[in-house]
Amino acid sequence: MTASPLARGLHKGLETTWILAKAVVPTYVAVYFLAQTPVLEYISRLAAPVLALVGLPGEAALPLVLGMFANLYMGVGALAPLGLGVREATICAVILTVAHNLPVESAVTRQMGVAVWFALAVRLGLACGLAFLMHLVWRP
Amino acid sequence: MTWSIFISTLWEGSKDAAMTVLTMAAIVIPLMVAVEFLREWQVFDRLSARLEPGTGRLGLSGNAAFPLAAGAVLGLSYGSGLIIASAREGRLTRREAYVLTALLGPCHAIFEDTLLFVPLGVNPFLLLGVRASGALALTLVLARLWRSTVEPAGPAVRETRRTNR
Repeated sequence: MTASPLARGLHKGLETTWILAKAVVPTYVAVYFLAQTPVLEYISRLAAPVLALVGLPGEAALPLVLGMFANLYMGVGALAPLGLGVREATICAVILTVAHNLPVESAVTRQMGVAVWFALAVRLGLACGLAFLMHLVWRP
Repeated sequence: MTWSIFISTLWEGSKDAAMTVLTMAAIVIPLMVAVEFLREWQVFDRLSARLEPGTGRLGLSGNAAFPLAAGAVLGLSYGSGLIIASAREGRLTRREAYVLTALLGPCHAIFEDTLLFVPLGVNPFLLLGVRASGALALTLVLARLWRSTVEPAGPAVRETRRTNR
C-alpha cells in the first residue's frame, strides 16, 4: 500500500474489471445461445396464466422474461410496443426494476460471496410480492 | 443449429459482452482511482462515521455505507465493483454481504432504472417509492432475523467459496 493513490486505483480498477468480465462474458454469450432456441418463447406461453394473478395480460410475459433473462433495456424495448395502460405498465415496471438481468447480476453478487439462490429468491420474491400488492391496492 | 448461426451467435454475444465489459471498465477504473484518492484523504472514515446511525439500523457497519450509496445510485454491476473490493479486503462480513444484496439486488441504479419507464407513462415517484420501500422492508426483516451471530470480520468471499465448492 505504499504506491500512489493513482497506481492503487488503476490496479484495483483493472482487477475489478477482470472479475466482472469473468462473470459477465460467459453469461452473456449463454443467453444469446438460449435466444436461438424456442425456450424463451415457451416460457412466455407458460407464464401467461400466472400473470393474470397480478393483473397483467399474457403478452406481458415477453418483456418480463426478456428483462429477467437479458437486461432491463430489452425488457423496456419489448414492453413499449404493447401499449399497456398506466396501471399495467407500472406493475410491469415494478417487477422489472426489482428483478432484471438476473443471470449476470446474480453472478456479480456471487463475486462478493453471496449465494446465487439467495439473490434470485430475494429479487423474484419481492417482485412478485410487490406486483401482487399493487394489483390488490390499485383497482382499475 | 447450423455452423453459421453458431458462429454469428458466438460473435454477437462476445461482441456485446465485450462492449458491456468495456462500458463497465470505463466507469469502474476512474471510480476506483477517485475512491483511492478519497481514501488517501481519509474522506471515508468521516463519511462512514456520519452514515453509521443509518446503516446501523440495518445492522450494517459504517464500512457498508459507501458501497451501499454507490450501489444504490450507480447500479449493481458498477457499484458492486466497490462492494466486491470491500468484501475482498475483509471490510464486510458475510452477513453484511447478504444484507447488502437483499437491499441492492432489488433496488440499485435508482435514477437510471426509474427514468427508463417514464416514457411509458409510469410515475417515477410511485415506481421508485414502491421499489425502494419494498427493498428496505425486506432488508429490515432479514437484518432482524439474522441478528448478530458473532462472527469475525473475515473476508466474506473466501469464506463462502469454501462452503460453495
